[in-house]
Amino acid sequence: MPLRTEEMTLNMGPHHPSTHGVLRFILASDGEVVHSCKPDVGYLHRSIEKIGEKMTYLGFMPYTDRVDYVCAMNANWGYALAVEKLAGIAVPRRAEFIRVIVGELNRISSHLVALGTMAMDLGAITPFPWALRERERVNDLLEEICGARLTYNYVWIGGVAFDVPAGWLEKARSFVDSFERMIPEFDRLITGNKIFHERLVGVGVIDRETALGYGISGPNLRASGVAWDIRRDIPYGIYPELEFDVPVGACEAGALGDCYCRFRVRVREMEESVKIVRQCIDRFPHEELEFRTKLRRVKPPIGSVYVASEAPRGELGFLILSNGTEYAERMRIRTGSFTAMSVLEKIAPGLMVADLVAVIASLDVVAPEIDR
Amino acid sequence: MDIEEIERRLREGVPGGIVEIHRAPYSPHLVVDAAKIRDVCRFLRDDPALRFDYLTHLSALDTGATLCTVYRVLSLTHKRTVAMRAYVPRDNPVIDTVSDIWPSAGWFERESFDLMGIEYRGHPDLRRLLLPDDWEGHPLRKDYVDPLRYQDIDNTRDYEI
Repeated sequence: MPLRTEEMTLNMGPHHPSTHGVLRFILASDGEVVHSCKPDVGYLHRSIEKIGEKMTYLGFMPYTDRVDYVCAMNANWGYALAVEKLAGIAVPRRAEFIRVIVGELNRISSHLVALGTMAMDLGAITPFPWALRERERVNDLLEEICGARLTYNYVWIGGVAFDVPAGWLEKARSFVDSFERMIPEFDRLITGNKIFHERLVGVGVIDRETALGYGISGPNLRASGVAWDIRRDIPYGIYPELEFDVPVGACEAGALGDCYCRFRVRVREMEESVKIVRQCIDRFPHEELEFRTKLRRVKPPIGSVYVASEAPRGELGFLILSNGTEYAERMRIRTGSFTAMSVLEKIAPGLMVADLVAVIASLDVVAPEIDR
Repeated sequence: MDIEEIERRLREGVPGGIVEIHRAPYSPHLVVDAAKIRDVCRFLRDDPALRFDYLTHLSALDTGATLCTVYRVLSLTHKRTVAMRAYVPRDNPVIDTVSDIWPSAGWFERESFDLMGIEYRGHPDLRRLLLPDDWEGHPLRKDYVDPLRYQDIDNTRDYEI
């Protein structure tokens, strides 16, 4: 007699230790095999786009911290770029350097959270505190520069909120120097681990076509073999002056676009961020003292603008529609996690339930960024 | 290839698809006839000279008299991007889905349906995305009024503690 099987509806979340925020999935599964996966998002919807219409341009900046609090510097920066383009505000050169340094430090700390939690989701507890130990040092640096450890409100329209404190650049340099040595340590701890390999290699493959079709961006897109990095291809700030590589999925094991590729791309991106920070410290314009264009209010002319920036979780774009007042007519935020989440409906069928956890972790989705 | 050439190519490929090029004051974009949006999008994606293989984002605006869906597409092959708008009447905001052309539109359209109330005809799973299913109204519309109560929870602040 054939074994009778039956499809079971499985609820995962909204409070689940491996869902990276308040997320819920409705799975149809047969035993351990997922037949369909419907993400149910919106638990962290704070109507940030609507708030963007109710706040002045200057007043909206702290809300951008909450768009993605794991990399608030990059969110601040993306918003500032859009308003600056819309209103034609110049940014002092010193601020451009500071922005890149804090942005890349935040990218390192964001990737550390991604990699640490990824290992933890797979059952390896040790790498998480190791990654967070390094992240604490980034938090210390950012706290020293702006007073906050998570939601910075530091990159302001027209520059940055405060100048770098005395000796801070040397502290940042000593951090990247020691962090660079920590990456191989992290590698020995986890990258070569056999169980870690088994859980990631060949799992959750997102091929190039799917990645493009679903609008995947950032490290997830590059892991699928698409060499696209907004810092290089639609450059902003001083990125054109800096030398860095764009790591692309190298298919070191398994298939291009699997969880392991996404893991490796993030590790290699941290190495590139170290290079970028070091270049900025070396070339820092000490003689130019201005770090902010003083603004009493921001009142852009009637118009619209869409500016994309490369946040750790992919393309962070602000579409701002101005009606000529101090309040935006429409504030639209395009985030990387949003599209990364939507691809799950496509790739989940056929995965094991436990592998789904690995895929969610490897996509590095942050729930507030999906819901805004 | 700038926006004029893209427009010329589209006019040949999809007659009547493009209404005009908008240059100012808003950032340059193509205004697309909402009835032909699918033809325009498919041509944008498949034409070898255009090859817009990536939908960067899809969103909606409330312009007062009309609602409008905003598309921004990117060609990774040719490294160029173009924005489009398609206007739909406020009393009957319906436009064809492009979620089969770029699957990423699936969630973007759900979000736009949820928050702006534009209906995407032919969408396989058009439900609210961010708000609860029993929410009433579409908050990003300019005439939206915040509800005073939701599921017997008072939303006002004038209550005694």
